[in-house]
Amino acid sequence: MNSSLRFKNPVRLGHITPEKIRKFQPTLMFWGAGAAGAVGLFLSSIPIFKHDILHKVPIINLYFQDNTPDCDKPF
Amino acid sequence: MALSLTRINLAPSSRALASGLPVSAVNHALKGIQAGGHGSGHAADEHGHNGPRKDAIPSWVARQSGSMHVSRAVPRSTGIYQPRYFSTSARSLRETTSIPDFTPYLAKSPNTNRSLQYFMVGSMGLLAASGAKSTVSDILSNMAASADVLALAKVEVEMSAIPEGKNLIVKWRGKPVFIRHRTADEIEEANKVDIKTLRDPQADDDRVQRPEWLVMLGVCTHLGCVPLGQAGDYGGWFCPCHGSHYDISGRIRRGPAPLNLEVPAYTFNDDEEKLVIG
Amino acid sequence: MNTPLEHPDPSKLPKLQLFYNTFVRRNSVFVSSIFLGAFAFSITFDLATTAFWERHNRGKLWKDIRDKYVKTGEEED
Repeated sequence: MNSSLRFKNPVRLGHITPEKIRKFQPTLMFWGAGAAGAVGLFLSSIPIFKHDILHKVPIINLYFQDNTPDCDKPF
Repeated sequence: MALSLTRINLAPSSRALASGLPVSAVNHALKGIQAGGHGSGHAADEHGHNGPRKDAIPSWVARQSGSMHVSRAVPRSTGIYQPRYFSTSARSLRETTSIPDFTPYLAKSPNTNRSLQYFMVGSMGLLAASGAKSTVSDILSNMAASADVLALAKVEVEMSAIPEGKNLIVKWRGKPVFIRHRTADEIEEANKVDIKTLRDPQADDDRVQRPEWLVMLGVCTHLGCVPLGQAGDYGGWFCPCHGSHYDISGRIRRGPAPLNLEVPAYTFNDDEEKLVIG
Repeated sequence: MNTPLEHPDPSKLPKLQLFYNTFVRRNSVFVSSIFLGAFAFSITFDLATTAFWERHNRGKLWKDIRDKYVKTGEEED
């Protein structure tokens, strides 16, 4: 047996280890929420983003739905 | 001494009385200097008829002391001018260093100021982000095609003009559009394919609104050639440029193209038996 | 932090200090709340201005007068 056997965490990516990720988890979650908010804000006038995402969010979709009746749309 | 500068500000030679009359205080003294000491003849001098101007700068004022010199005598204004020889203002006698009491204005704690500053910064960021988004989206919506242009950019196709099992190619916004009236066998063939084996997995139902009508952009997703209809190994379309084979649903089956043929937005107008693309 | 953020009695905390403790202590929370707040603000601002506009022009808008022109049942175009 190798006497200098040491335990080494097999899962790591450079300096990023699961322990560090766990430590930063709340912060990362908040940053993720912020990024989601920024994307939602800046893409909220793009039709495909409206159709694919904003129409499926429970409360917000009331604002983004187009309530114009079809007979009022000339084109 | 190579250069000497002499500047002399002359005392006010005259001033105005409250009545507006000019009064000269210096003339008598200057006159005495210039006239060489004899101060007689007052009566002629006061009317200014006797010789040069009495308050002219005397020659001895500019001292000659080197190879070059500049003499600049600046006489003061002779207009309405009230020299102030000493201050009689009572205000100037007061204590001028009394400092007001600022303690009511001081923050109770430094936390208050800091919180307020962060609050203002946050509010500013909030409004700026919202305004930036609105500005950008308004500018971009200006560049988008307006509704009347979009209305003209539609193509209507008579559905009865395409018999079952035939293709029609129409030009729409500069691109060819394939319309195929599919037979029941072709629909069955398109639905039979296991979509898990496809490069761009997509069910036939997702690509058509009505199974018998297949509408696609006739632009190969590889490099933009126009595929040939009713050709290729899968009974659909075949791109002659680099050999991409599309099946009867327009899905890529073999060759370099990465994606299925694109499906444009289209609607059916059943009243007039028309297919409206756009 | 030159001053302690904890307060002896949290119920007596000034509102600004409460704001600071909630939003500003983490930069991630600060930035996230700015973007989410901007999203909410843009919606509420639009709703508020639209509501004002429709109240100001009540009776003149298409949705108010369309009953006079569009007969339900026989729709033209």
